[in-house]
Amino acid sequence: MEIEQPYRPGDKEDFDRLYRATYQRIFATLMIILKSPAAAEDATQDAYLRAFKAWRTWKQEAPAEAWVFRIALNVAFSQRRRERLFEIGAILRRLGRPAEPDPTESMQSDLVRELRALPPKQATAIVLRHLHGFTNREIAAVLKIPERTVASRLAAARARLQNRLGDRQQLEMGTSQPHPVPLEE
Amino acid sequence: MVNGDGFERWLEQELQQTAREGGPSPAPSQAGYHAAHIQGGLHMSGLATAAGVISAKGAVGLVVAVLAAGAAGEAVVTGSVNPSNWGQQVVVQVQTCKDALTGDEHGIGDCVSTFAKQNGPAVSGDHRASGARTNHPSATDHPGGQPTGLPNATSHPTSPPTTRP
Repeated sequence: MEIEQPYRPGDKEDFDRLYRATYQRIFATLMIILKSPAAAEDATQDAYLRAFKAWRTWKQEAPAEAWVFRIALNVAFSQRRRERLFEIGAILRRLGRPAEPDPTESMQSDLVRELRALPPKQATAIVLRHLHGFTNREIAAVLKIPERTVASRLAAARARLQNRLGDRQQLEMGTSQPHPVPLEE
Repeated sequence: MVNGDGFERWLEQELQQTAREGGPSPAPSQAGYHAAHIQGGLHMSGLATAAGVISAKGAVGLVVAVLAAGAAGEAVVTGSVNPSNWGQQVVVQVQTCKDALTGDEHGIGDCVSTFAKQNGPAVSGDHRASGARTNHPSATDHPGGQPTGLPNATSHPTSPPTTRP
């Protein structure tokens, strides 16, 4: 079995290795947090650029994956704030006229739409937990928050998603109770 | 009543499905950081090796200290005696540190402090050697007149000068 070599701060080849090891997961995370795959791709590249600039300052006692995740999420949260401002500006410019249909909107699953409607930090906790399988402790390390905060964000996000999507989940999983059919008299 | 475990299982399946639709992963050679590296835009100077443990206030103080250092210090840090170069380098370094801020982190102290550790002593040493900080400079530092350690009245326009015992 091949033993994973530890990353060395500042080493370009090691950063390439970190990029290969984390790109898909980071992109998938940002794709759910941000408005579109294109925005997620830009943010992902921006995050790696920032991470590479700071690569020499990475301290080996912190997992490199968590470190780069944190940078990426920070970029995504900033991007989300800009998206919100842009949306508010667009609403003001329209002044009551109906919005242009967003071509990416119809391609989104209900879950993605609901996740994007959540506060970004709650959505992040859900994605890290249920897409990447992180434990509460690992999420806390990535986000640099207490585990208690992780647990409360997860609980709040799950409750809202379950409230909004529970019916759909029941239908898809075949766990819904059949509606009682009134007997014909 | 929705089963919590069932919902979580469904959540995971849906998320996995969404992630699979993400598309290909570009190779490092196609990444933005790689292009910047090739172009030399990310060539790390001595300044950019900064890391460690000082506060953001310390970082600001450090910038002030570096800016206040003499030309010798500037040359040590940036390889240039041109103040516009070393000043710019410091600004770039601070910006780099800000860019690297993550998550709930506050301040850029961690990032800048290695700079303080690595370059501070060199700058400080050179600066000290230059005699710029001495209160009793030699006559050659003041060829035009007798040096004095006491401030003159114009140094304190808002308050009268005090006399030393």
